[in-house]
Parts: sequence; C-alpha cells; structure tokens
Amino acid sequence: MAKRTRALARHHSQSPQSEATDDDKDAITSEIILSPTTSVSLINAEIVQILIKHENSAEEIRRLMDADLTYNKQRLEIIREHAAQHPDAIDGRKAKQSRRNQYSVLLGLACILLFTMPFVSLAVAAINGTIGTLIVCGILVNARERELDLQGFLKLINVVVGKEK
Amino acid sequence: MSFRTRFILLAVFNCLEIILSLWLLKSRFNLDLSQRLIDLDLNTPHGFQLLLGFMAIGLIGFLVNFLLLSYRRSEFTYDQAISVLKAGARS
Repeated sequence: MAKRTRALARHHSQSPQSEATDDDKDAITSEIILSPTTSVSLINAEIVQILIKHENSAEEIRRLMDADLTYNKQRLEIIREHAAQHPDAIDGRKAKQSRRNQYSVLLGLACILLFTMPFVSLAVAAINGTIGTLIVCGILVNARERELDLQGFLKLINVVVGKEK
Repeated sequence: MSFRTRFILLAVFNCLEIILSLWLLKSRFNLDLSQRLIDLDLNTPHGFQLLLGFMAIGLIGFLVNFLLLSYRRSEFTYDQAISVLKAGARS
C-alpha cells in the first residue's frame, strides 16, 4: 500500500506532458491516494465556518458530518479491499480502450449464448441465460463514465447544504 | 459490501436460481429437461405457461444480478471528494 501511495505521489508530481503515453492519457484516476494511517476528514473548520455563515441549521451540519463519517467508513473499506491486491493489479485494468475491447467480446459472447437458447435443451438454455444475464448486468454496471458520479455527489452536497431541493 | 462477498452471493444466487427454477418448472409444469424452447407449443396453455415461467425467472435473475453487481463501494478519491465538497459549500 505504501509503495502504491509513493508511486501515485510521484505520478501526480510529474507534469502531464512528461512521458505520457496514450494509455496513460486514458487512465482512470486511481482510487486510493492516501495510506490508511493518514487522518482524513472531509469537513474541516473552514468548511464548518462557511456553513455557519450561510446560516445553515445545526441539523444540516450534523447531516454533513454523518456524510463525512460514511465517507471515511467507505474509504477504509476500499483500502482494506485493495491492500490484499498486488499494486499493479489496479493499473493493469485502467486503459479505456482495452475495457471497450473486453466489453465488445463479452457482448458478442452474450449474443451467441442468447441466440442459441431456443435451440438447446431447457437445462442448457437456463445456464446460457444466466451467463448472458451476468454479462449484460456486469457491462451495465461497469461500462459507464465514472466521472458522472462526481456530479451526483455535487448534487447531494447541494441538497445537504440546502441550496437545492 | 466487499468484492468477495458480492462474488460469493452472485455465485450462490445463480446456482440456486438455476436448480430451483428447473425443479419448480419440472414439478409444476411437468417440464422435460431435454425439451427445447423452440419446440414449445405456445397455442397450448401448458407451453405458454412454461414460456412465461421461464421469462419470469429470467427477469427476477436479471434484477437480482443487477442489484448485487451495482451494490459496490464508492469510487471517489479524497481529492475529488474535497473539491466537490468545497464547490458545494461555495455554491
């Protein structure tokens, strides 16, 4: 984990143009950048002051702090999950083009399985259908622009601080 | 939910779904496992019910698989979350 953190720190300190391959340009931002021992809090005194100035009620601040607690809980969960992996394991699946190729192959396989369903016995058709369902669900869940999640989180924060309903 | 838990749940659910659904269709609709979907006679209630049962099980399987796969960890980095929080506080 520490090795991974150091590598990421080096990566972020470099200029974007320096030795960036096409693959690197396509890379999804890494998910973990801090070690588990680092004390992390989403809310600092400055943010709380801003919220007080904006006349937000104590209830809203409490909800924001609850969100902070949940964030940290999930962050530690991610760190625990990734600590068991080799540091290169996450880098190995980062290129968008390779993901697209994988999804195309999997979709092709799902189409073949679904088209053969009517022509095989029901037991085999059920297995084909299950594999096809898994492929379609997996692609639906994973093949999306994860940057959109950021917009969702921004909307959530706006709702919490009472700027949006 | 961790990746391992989701993986095990997916595997168990799909195995159980196949076994239970085939057993249910066999016991209720006298399903012959060697029968093919293309051979089903949809003009008879038996064939039509069999096809509907098969599709209903498929739909349930799709929904459960989708929920299990989408019940995943948050993928925000700390820096992203901080910038979003600050933007939210400013707006």
